[in-house]
Amino acid sequence: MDQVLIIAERIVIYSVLISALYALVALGFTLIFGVGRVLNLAHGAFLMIGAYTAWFAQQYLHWNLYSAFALAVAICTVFGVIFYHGLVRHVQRSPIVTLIATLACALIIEELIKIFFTTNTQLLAPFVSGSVEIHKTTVITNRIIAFGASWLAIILFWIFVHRTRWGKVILATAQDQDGAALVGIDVKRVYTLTWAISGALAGIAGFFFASWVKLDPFMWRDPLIISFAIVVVGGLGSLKGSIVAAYLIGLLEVLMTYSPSVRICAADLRCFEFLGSSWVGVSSLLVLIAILFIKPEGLFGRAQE
Amino acid sequence: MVLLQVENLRKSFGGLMAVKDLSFHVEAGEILGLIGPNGAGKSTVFNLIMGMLKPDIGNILFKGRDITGWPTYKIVDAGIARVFQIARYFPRKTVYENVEISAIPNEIFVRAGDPATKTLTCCARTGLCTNEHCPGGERCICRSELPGMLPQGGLRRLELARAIGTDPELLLLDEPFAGLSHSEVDEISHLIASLRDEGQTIVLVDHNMRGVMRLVDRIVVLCFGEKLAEGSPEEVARNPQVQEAYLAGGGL
Amino acid sequence: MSFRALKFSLLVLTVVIIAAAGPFLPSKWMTTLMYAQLFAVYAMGWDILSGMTGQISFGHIFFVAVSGYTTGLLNLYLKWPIWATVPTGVVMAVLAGLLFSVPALRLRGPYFSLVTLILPLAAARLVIILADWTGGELGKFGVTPLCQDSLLNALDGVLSRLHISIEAFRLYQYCNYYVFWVLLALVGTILVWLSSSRIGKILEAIRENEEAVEAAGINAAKYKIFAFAISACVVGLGGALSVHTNEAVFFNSLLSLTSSIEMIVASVIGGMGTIVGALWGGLLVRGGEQVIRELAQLKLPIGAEGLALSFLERWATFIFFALLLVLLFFARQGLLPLLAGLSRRAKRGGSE
Repeated sequence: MDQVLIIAERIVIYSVLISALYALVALGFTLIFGVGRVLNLAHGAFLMIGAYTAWFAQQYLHWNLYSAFALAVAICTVFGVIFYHGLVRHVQRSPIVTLIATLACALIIEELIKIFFTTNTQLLAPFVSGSVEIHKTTVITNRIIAFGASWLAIILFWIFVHRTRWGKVILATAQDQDGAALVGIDVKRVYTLTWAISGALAGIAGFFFASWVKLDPFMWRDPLIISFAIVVVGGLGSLKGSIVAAYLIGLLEVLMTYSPSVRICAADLRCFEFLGSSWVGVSSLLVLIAILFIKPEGLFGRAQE
Repeated sequence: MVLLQVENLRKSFGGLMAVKDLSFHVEAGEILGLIGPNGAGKSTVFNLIMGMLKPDIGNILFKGRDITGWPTYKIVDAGIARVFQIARYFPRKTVYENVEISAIPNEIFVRAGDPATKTLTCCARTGLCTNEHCPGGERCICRSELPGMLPQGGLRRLELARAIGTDPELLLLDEPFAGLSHSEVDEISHLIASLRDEGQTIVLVDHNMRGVMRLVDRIVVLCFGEKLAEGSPEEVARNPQVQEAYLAGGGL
Repeated sequence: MSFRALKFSLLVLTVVIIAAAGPFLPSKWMTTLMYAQLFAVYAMGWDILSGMTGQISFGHIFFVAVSGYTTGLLNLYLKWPIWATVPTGVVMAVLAGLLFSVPALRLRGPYFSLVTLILPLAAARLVIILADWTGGELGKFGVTPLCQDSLLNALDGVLSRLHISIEAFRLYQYCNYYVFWVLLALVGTILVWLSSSRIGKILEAIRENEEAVEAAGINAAKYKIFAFAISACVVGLGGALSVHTNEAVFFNSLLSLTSSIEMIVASVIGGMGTIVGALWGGLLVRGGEQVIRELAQLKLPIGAEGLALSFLERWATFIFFALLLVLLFFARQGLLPLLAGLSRRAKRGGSE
């Protein structure tokens, strides 16, 4: 019984922590879709740019982590704006072309990272090393910092959108582009700001993702799937939905990691594991496919007609 | 003979009752006018008949068969076609190709004849092709023209051609005179009348009263989703309730 | 010349050139062109669905995987012969296509595309979980070759009757090359015919305005499902044959995300929805990759030590994706429509 309680506690604490990061990862993605109606398949790549900028600053420029972090966020913000003005603005009339183009960009960025950096997987150095004990569970300190930073970013974002003038302008544009233009809102400026914010959020998320999960040229794929999963499960354009979805998905993943697995073997001694840590990726994908087929608007979203 | 029978139709959107206990019928060979002020529910009725919306309550019978809830393509196959107010066309296909799609049968594996003949007939019938090479020649203008190049009147003809390409027994015309100049209204009016003379049954929705009154055999007046009056144009024009509804919203 | 006739003539021309070129190709290029033909089949399969209906599939490699693993595993474990494994693989791919298309059709454009992105990822994870059977990321060897010794001996017998003698390895290469040539010619003919038929017209109409198609009395869903099935069938056939040619189930050839995107590149280069365009695009992509690899071996006589082009090796994939982006901006219709437009303009210029 004690064993079960300990594992349960571990699952709860870990999922609470990582879900915050997942929510942050998805935030930029959902922002762009809600406001610009663009599914930015290069979103994961934005995170990767942030992560590698920080790594570069640390390894080659020998900056301290705080400066590296700031640089990562700055570069990503700028990149978001360039991405919008250089690419998205010209193709966003056609959703098909936008999908292909943003995915192509993500792959281009992956190739460039492969060419200029190493293909090896590594981890970005943490802000603080070591771990702490929360009740009976050991938690890496940096992850708690990531958790705090994620929630801080989310709350600041919420305040910005709902309480500041520019935030409300963004909301208005999200609801009705033409209507916003009619009341004198410069839609292009709103989009520029939106992409800048999305880039910034991605930079922050990328930095922590790289120190928590991994740093390699393929690291953009998981955050993209996570963002997509959260946005689909939680409903497009719903911040509350995104957060709930992030926690559901985080919980599912952590459950899979710590669940006992059943080893099923055939007569010729070939076996596979049912459930357990090797199912971490599959489970969320399967849930995602199931939800897409059953309720495409997500748990909180409106049906997009 | 009753071609279409609408019984006790009701449809609401959220709290708004768009169509309420509506019943009417359409006789074969007639032109029925469905009129009413804006927001009376006329387009909703068409959407319900064509299967784009499902009624909350009520039935729609076509040639005796209950078509309520059928998918749109099946209703079109059964013999009802709709001409949309805002033309639904294929922007990157030529006028000819646009009409051709209607002439193609809904079968993958069955060997079917060439839709060319039917397509050309429809183009000719609706006056789409206007130069001397039409309709059969290779240099006919509809073989190179895109729908986007057509004036409003031309778009309306295109819609009509696409509709009659499906061999309908009942034609639903949704505001066919909207956005047309005076001369275009006359032309389309003549076209509609000639279609009726060939035996086509038509239901017309419009609020251009002058054009409608001369064209239709019978009228059903809608107001706030309910049937206000029914009868010949003269009867309806004399109806005090109708006069009030229209005077409140505009002139007759 | 009508567009339809143009497509057919170009198809015949391409197919004839590839057939005639066979004996003149050095060994390395023969292998390249063989795989290029396979990839061209994949691209055409993608095009008949995504190019024509506009429902963009980002994970078409999924059908290659379904068919490939079915074929390979049936052959490895149950010892089924080729004439049994390949059809079964194709049937599985078609079933997967049908099963998947029915719910997927309810999804709007971007949602649909995103689901297609996920399917191969989920399949990849499953393959890894079942690694004991599938060989996981390393794959499994020992699949019966496509051109077996018995077949080769028979061919050799026929050829010696005609006083032609071909070295054994070369004969093996010829066999594979022409098997895929037959596949290319067959698939090309069927798909070009389909795309020009009334079914093709409806598929294109669906891409432009699905509602108008329904209003014309046509059940759009039926046609989309049909396109899916054909697409899965074609791609699956290629995948099944490739497993026997490779004599193995390779994870990278059956499940790579990059391949899925390269299919899109191929089709965009050639002209989405033209089928022949996808064929050329497929040949260009695979052929182009080999060209870059060859170039990377060279050293240009520039400067004191010469300029080694070995960096091209690492930049090859980047070049292709950058090319895709450029194409999307400047030549979205692709090669074939551009050519057709030029020839139309030339014709009009001549007659006036």
